[in-house]
Amino acid sequence: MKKNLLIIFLFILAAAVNTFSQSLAGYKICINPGHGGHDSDDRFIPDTGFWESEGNLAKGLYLKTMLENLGATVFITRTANNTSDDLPLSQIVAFANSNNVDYFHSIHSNATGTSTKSNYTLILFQGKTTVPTYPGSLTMANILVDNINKTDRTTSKMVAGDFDFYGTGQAYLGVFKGLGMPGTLSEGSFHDYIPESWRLKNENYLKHEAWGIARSFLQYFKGGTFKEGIIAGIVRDLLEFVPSSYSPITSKGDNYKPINNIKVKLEPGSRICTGDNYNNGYYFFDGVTPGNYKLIFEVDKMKPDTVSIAVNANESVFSDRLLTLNPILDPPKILSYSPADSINEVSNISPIDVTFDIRMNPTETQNAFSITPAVNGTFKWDSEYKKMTFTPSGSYQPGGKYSVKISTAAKTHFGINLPLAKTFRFATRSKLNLVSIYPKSGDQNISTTVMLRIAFDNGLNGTTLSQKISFTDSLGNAVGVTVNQAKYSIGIIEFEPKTPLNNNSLYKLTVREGIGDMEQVFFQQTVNIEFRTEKRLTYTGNILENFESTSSWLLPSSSSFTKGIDVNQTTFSILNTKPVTGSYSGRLEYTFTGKDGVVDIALAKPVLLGESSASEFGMWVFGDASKNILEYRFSRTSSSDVKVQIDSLNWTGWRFKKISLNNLPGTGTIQFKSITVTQNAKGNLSGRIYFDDCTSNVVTDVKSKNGMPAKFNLEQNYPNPFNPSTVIKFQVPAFSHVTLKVFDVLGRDISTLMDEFKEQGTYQIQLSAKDLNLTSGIYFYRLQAGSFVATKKMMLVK
Amino acid sequence: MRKVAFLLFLLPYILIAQNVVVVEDKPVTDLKEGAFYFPVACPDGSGIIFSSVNGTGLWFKNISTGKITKITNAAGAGFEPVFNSNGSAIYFRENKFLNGKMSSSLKTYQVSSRKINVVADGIRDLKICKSFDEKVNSYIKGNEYVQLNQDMGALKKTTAQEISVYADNTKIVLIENGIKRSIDPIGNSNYIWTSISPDNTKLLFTCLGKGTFISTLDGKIIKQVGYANYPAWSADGNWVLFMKDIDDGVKLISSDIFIANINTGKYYNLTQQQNNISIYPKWGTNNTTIFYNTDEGQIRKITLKYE
Repeated sequence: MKKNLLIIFLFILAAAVNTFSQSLAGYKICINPGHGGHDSDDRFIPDTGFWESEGNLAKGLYLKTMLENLGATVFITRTANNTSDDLPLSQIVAFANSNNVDYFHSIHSNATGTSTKSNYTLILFQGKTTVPTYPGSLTMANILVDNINKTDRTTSKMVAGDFDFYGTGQAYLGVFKGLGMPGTLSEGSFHDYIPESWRLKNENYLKHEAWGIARSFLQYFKGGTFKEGIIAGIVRDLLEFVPSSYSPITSKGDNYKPINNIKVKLEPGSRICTGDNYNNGYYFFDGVTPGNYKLIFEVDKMKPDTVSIAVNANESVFSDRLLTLNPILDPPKILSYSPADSINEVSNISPIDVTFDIRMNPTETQNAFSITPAVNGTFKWDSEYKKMTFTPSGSYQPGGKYSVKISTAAKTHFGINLPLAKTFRFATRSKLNLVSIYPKSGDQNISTTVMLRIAFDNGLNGTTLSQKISFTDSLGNAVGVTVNQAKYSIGIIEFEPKTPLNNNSLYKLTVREGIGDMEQVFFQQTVNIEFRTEKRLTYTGNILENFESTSSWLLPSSSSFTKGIDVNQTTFSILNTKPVTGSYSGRLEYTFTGKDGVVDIALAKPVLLGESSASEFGMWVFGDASKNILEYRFSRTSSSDVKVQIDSLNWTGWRFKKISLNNLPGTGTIQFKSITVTQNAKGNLSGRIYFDDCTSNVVTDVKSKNGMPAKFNLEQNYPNPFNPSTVIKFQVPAFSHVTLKVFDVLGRDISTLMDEFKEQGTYQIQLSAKDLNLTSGIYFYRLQAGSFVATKKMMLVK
Repeated sequence: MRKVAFLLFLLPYILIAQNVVVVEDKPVTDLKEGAFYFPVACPDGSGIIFSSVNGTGLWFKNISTGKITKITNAAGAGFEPVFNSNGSAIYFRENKFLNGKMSSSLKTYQVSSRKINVVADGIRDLKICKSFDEKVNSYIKGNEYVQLNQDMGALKKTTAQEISVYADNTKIVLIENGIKRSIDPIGNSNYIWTSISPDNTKLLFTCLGKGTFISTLDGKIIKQVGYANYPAWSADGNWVLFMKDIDDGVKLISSDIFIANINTGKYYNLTQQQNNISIYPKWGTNNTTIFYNTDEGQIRKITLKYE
């Protein structure tokens, strides 16, 4: 045993002595692996997950070992890749100067944009390209560019002084400014050229470039040459190609798909290199004694391959291989297909997939495919030619019954036929179905600002909606609405009245047959919905938070109560699109990601509600009918936070949602801290809710019993600000002469909107800026009836 | 992004009500005269010496006459040229590369006669050492310590208390009474920009990637100055002057000159009003003047007032 160990030791010693018989003893070299720390000045390629700082460091550490084995004293600026390793350029330069090194070299990789298909070796130094600051820099640059170009898979090479390369005519690169010795910066290859980006994740590939730089130092310092050589290459699949997004350079063979986890044996010596799974197919043997060798390639499912290769000292020799599949003489099997056999309600544009267990001959297999009744379409295959997809050019017939057959003419890549024909059948959707509707027929107390919603089971074709939906009051008069067409694509028709509906009134929504979806399938019935709006109530009190300022509220993500949300899809904003009073209201848009989501919108400063629990507290909430749970969060001096469930969000439109503070636990001052929406297992995953006017000491005023107004009242116009029109609503308690006039800010009478006797009731009048030829600005409208006079302000924006 | 940690002086502050005001920030050289870097003030205030972007060559600008005189074309001369004690001579290096190897000479420039003498030649790994008062007192020739004495000209007489310091890769080397000892205050780190405090009791140094620190002479950390490059003690030892340079990994993108009071921890950005990249600051002859250069190569002078 001891004898064996001694032999192994002597072998390693001999190999080491042989490998590093050349010398850089006495030389001091500073290596700077560029960038560091995955910081903002690092370079990252999302397609491959490559960080330049990692590649630079690996090359630098390999190089350090190689140079130290040659006897050089190496000063390296970093040996790790943390934020603290992202050194300032001034420190890097000072480090080289402080240690009086003979040469400085900074290691990098390059980038210019994937689509440019650039992958050359570039060496930069300080000075003009032909007149370097230090002559040694140009000498070394020419050596480096040659050696790195011979180790990396670059297409060409270039050296340049930074004065010229950046076109400044003066010192540009910070890593050379103040440097007291010759220095170079190598951009070995381009990390945004995707095939190269993958290669730069391979340790052997990085090591190979380090060998190229080490050879350069030997040559520069006249330290001799390495007595051994290197064998490397890339193993690819003859039949498969990389995605076009790689922008592969075909002259370098990068269009062929590399094979992962390859095994390459070098004989004699029986050395084995195992490839990575980073889409490289890269193999590498260093320290190879000059001579003739045989490479044996063994890859699962591929034909074995062998090649003879000659190795020279101090050189790299490449042998790229294109492997082909091992012949499989088994008959193919159909592993899966879709649509499943005998299934109904298949999408009318559904593709047909058939997956085989063996690579297929695409032409023969497509010819073996038939569908009855005949449908035109196109074929597409996956990269392994095992999965065939037939996509119809148009739509199938609604409610059509189809039969798909793969005949025995289908053949594998190796010419073996499908042993048994396969037939499967499916039926397409025959009609568009209504999934839900809000409000439902017979619903009472619907908000006068209701958002009506009709949901179908497929995305809608907007051109089929004309005359198919009507929304009328009890007299059959059409109600003007604003429609959200953005949701047609997900099968939802959403609309809201342009002006609030009348209180305590019947309305009718009709959805007619003939509404079509994007697959030319149609709704085949007519649905009538009748609902009644809420009775008129007014809420007064102390408005403690009016949702007019963004600074009052914190983002949902900053609350410790928030959980289970998609942060990118959950926001709270103050917007002027839907105010109840003032100009703004709060809008919460949320998306839950799991089952127990909570979104909490906290006040930056909790609102003090006093110590009395006898009063009511509430706010306007424009619901989203999501069935999630609305809660308010309070605290008291003597208790921790308590969430109070307000309601299930089962409505749309504005509703004043209030609670009595009687049941709040604890004593002392009550603080209102946040609004919370808690996920309901049966609720929607996402929604949009508006809020306005947090109010304390709420007093609810019920209008006269017959629903008719008991006193004069002039309401705030809606919408406000407006463009081009707005509605002014007012109440008259008894038969009166009524005038409604509009004035500008200078008090000039602009228009008389009404001047007539009116019975008891609620009236509204639409003001059109265009009709009155109004320009942008502030206006006042004044209601006068008997001794009652009220004036309100409105704003026209353009 | 590099995290610019400004962990200034974590020890409790000694409250001193003092404010610093930049009275003036004016050019010393014009870019038409050339691009100059690494300014060092003459001890008697008569002028400024500076170099080129790569430390090649040395120039003297007479403050009274405004005249710029070239001292030498030597490569490396601009890397911290040092005056002797009475300011009559400048010590500087000249680097040459023979078969790729750096070989340095230590030279002196006699201000009055403008003569250049060679103190030592063919030095491998030359380090010029300064004492607490920023004056030259010795040099390192490879591993050999050579103390300069009066025989070398108008040199300051060395005393038993004199301590020299220099950075040597992963160590800081102190020389006390001719005896060298190495310390590694941070551990497993690379050091640069080392200097002794004016009271001869503390070290100021920068550790690559970890910031600038003040330690005892035994390497015990007293204060963490934070991200502070090219640091320098003030003559009274109460302030540290430094630059806060930010780059994008390719080139400098911003830099300002700061001073920090080591007693209170307060720091002042002296160049925030300047629309340039301000780098490589050095104290003038007292606490009220600072010289620095811009990234373009203009030497500038800051005048301070302490209130």
